[in-house]
Amino acid sequence: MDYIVDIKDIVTKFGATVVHDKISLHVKSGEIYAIVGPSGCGKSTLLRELVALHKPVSGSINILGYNLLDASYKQIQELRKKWGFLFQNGALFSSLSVYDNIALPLIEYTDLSSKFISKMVVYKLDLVGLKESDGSLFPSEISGGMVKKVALARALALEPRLLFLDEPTSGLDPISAREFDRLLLRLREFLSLSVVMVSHDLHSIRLTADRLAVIDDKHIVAQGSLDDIVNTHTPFINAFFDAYNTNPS
Amino acid sequence: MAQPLLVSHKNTASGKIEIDVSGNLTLNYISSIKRYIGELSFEGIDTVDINLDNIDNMDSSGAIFIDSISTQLKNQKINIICHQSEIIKNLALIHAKMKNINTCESVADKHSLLYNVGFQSVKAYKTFLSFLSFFGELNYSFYLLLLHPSKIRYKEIIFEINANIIKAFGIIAVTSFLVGVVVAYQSSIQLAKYGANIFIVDMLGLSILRELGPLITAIIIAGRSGSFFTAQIGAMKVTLEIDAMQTMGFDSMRFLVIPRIVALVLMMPVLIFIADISGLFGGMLVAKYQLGISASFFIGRFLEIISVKQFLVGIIKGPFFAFLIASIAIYHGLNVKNDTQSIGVNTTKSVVESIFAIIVCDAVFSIIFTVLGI
Repeated sequence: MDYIVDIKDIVTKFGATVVHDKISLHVKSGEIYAIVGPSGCGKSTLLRELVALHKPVSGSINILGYNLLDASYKQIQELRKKWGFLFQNGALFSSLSVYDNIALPLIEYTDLSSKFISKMVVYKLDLVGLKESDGSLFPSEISGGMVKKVALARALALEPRLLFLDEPTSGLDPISAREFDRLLLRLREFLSLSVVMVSHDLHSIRLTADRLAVIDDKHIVAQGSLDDIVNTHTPFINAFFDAYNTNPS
Repeated sequence: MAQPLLVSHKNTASGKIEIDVSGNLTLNYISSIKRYIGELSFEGIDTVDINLDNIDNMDSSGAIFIDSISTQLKNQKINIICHQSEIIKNLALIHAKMKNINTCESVADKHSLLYNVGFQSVKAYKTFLSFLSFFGELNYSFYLLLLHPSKIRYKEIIFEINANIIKAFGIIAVTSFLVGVVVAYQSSIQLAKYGANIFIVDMLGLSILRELGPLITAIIIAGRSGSFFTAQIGAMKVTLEIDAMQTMGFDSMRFLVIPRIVALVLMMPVLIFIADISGLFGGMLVAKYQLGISASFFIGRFLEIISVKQFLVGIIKGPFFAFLIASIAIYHGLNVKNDTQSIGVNTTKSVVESIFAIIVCDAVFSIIFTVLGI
């Protein structure tokens, strides 16, 4: 199995509205793969389908060697420990402190001692650039950028090999956003992660993504490296990458 | 994923043990490795060699485990043997990171009892002060509105009356009807023993009009409208609607707070009246079937014994109860912080505190009425 994520002929409908019409893409192990497209094209829905939060009408999704659409509940539970998901707004558990948010999966899914778990949590906090003392804060007490970092640390808690990011840099200032990009690259190298992300942030895509797919009007209109994409011409790609062409700073 | 294979060679003569780890040194297997090491006997051993040459995979939890293995093997010298450059690099990175991190202290701060008592007292005092400040702001807004009555939001007041008073008619009537039945039924057995059947009228008239009617109404409204106000305004805080109103110049006191308080204060007496009537009706039914007192006899005795004063004593409490319920509920709603947990906490607080406040207020009224001889 070469591909860590392999999607074939996905069809998604909401009522009579077709969102995806036979979408296929694959992500190689160790790759950062970005999905871009105009608002409402179903990028986030595709991501939700990849983590079994939403079921497509037809097609096949193969993740980490599991056939997601035919998998039993037990297999999906197994899979859920092997991937991490970073929600757009963090989705931290507001009743738990930062520390407990990260510790929760470790407490639930491993039989490690609380001392070892605390070591791991502090390490994860350090990994995403937070201090140990931040652990006692609650989600309502921290800034948006910190929420994203904590959510990332939580997504990494179970040492996943595959990470899904839903608009990781949205709502961050440009400096924090670049910092997040560098963090992502560092983590990829250090934890040998594969990453699938939905993003609108051209800078972020240019800095981090190895390959990307452009979804427009229910189909994937282009797939490949950034250079391949820029040389493909559709109205959306032209508009979206205009900044890239005119100002490749 | 392969379970790690552990092999150990013990050499008592040289005081050495070698532990070979092969396979995956990852999160799921750490505790089994830990157990394996825990079961080994380290008698007469002063050096432990851990051989990581045959490891396929190591994640950061595995690296942390190896880095911190000295906490498990306190009395031995530990040598890590590894020739895989990738793993050596990771171990070095983790070691450099963990050195700066001091995890010995627990993350949660522990304090003495005295500290906690003091902390909670100051917190309670500050809550009280902030309620006073809310109360002051509320009164000031009232004052301003009375100067400019055209600014009062009549439409909102009518809307709140419909939502919180008219829609509560049914539940108030049914509850106090049942309370009337229960009180009459319980006391009828005692009264019949003494042949004092007719005194059921005095008993019911006084207890329902003076105490039970207002209290039941207030408690139901505290549970119904109090929780509604707190949760609604709390959710508006979380979604930043209140801030949005503020930036657009809509004073939250005028738009949100005062209409709700006015609606409850104005209409509470009506609810108490309904509670009185249905409670007495329930009592009257029991009197007829249990004690044989006909409705006309009951009403005749009632008119003779119970003065209007008793009814007014109950009614006058209404606006005070209503004010307490609405202001406590809204205060807690506005106190919600930016998270979902806080809505639940504040809703609970609002209902519990307003019921408590109602009962305290009722006790104060009892004292005042007794002193005044009413």
